[in-house]
Amino acid sequence: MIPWVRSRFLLFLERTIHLSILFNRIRTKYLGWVSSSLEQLFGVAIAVQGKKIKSRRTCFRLINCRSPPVEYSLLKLEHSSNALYVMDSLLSSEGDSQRTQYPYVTGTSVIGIKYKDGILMAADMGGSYGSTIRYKSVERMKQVGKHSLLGASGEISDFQEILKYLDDLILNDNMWDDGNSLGPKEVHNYLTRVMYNRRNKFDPLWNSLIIGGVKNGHKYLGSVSMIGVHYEDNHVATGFGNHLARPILREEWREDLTFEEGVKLLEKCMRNLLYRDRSAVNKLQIAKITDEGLTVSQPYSLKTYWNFAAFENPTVGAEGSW
Amino acid sequence: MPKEQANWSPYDNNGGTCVAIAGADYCVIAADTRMSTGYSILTRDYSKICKLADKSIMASSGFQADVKALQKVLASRHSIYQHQHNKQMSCPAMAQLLSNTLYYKRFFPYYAFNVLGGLDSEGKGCVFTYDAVGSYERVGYSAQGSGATLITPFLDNQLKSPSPLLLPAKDAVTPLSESEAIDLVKTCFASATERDIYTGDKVEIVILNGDGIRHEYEELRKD
Repeated sequence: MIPWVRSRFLLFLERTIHLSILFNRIRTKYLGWVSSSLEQLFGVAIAVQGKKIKSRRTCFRLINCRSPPVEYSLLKLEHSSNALYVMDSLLSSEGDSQRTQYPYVTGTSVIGIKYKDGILMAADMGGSYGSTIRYKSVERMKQVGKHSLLGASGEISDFQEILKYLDDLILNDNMWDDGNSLGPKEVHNYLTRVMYNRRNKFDPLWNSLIIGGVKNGHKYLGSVSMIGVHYEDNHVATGFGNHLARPILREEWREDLTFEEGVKLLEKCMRNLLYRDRSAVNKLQIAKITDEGLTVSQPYSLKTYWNFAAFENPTVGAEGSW
Repeated sequence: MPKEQANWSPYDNNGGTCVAIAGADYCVIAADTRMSTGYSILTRDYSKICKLADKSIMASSGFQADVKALQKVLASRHSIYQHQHNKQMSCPAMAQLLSNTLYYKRFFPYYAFNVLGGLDSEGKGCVFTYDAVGSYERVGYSAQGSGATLITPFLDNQLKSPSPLLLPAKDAVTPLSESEAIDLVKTCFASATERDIYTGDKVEIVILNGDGIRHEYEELRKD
């Protein structure tokens, strides 16, 4: 078979088998049979954590003795030798996967609100490497085209890749030279399709995005998640922000918020996040976008007060704690 | 390094409840406007209802991104249909198309629970109810989504549909008048909202009859 046809076919097989297992279409006891048939027909076999399933017995041995989650991968068999090597596989624990299995450097919440003249957005500048705060000057809000502002939480490298896609998009749009330009609604819709397409390929962009902007006096604020869930609202927040900031926004947000009131409201939200979100850092930016254009503030920090009784003795009155 | 990082799932359940009732010369399609993930509410004003053609309206709950993709596929298929036939697709035709579209993704399904309501070629109300992989049936009324388990038995009790096993087949449309059906839908949602955390905020009701299409809204509990 032609190599690329073969590799495409194997990828398809792998995905089908993975989904079949995911949706319980194959009982574990038949995996040995499936695996040996595949080996006869196509020279590939199913493996559990690097070990090939040969028969029903090895299948039970490999799967039953392991605590879930068991990870399956397709192994490609060399013609003559018994050497096995792992394909670019869906959920394999091996290191050569080209798909993002988990994020490396991540940013925490972003918050966005509509206000009288446009959109305000706030994000801190931390970049976490797991639970280590590794970077402290990451800009997580960027301008997109003439009328839009994009804020991201999640994997920073994926965010930078998204910005490249958007640069391409805007450039291609500019080349029409028709005096038309993409607004926030169009950019949001584009991002929605990109995120959803990548989840369909089982290779997600690990971000929650917030997109805001103003075009022709029309304010727009929306959000997209890493699997493509998206919506518009008067105020949006990602991650912890949805738990800690949005209840405040629901109480205090108004349509006719002035710039100063808006900034004050965002600072209140960011301060709350700073107190309770361990990945948040006290260095943030606030971005403003109106019909006049976009400004992103210089980084600054918030005044904090750590002497609240609940911070000093958090377990007082909690029976059974020490 | 042991892998204990957050894993991801290609699916999410964004909740929501959809109800449709068919009458002799009308159809009522309704859905709440809450969108959730886990215990969080994402937004309180998201419409789950989509007008696919002049006389077919779909309400969908489940995974919002899949629902949106499904709506886009149907919209583009319908625009091709209009170019080829110079008319709107009928509701029973749209019902079959929806089933085929869902089944096309049988092995990586759209996690979408739909009810399709509309008027058939005789102007009679029709409701089609689906599962995520495209099994469907024409019925007189249906509820789908997170509140379906609460609403279905109530509708069964109130509307007493004739058994589908009866021969000759009896019409499935409900005997209610249009305004009675709308009131019933409002009651259903008010009740489901009491116990289902994924239903609430607002019901959007679309009423389809000989005169055209009409929208009504009713506020629900927001907690």
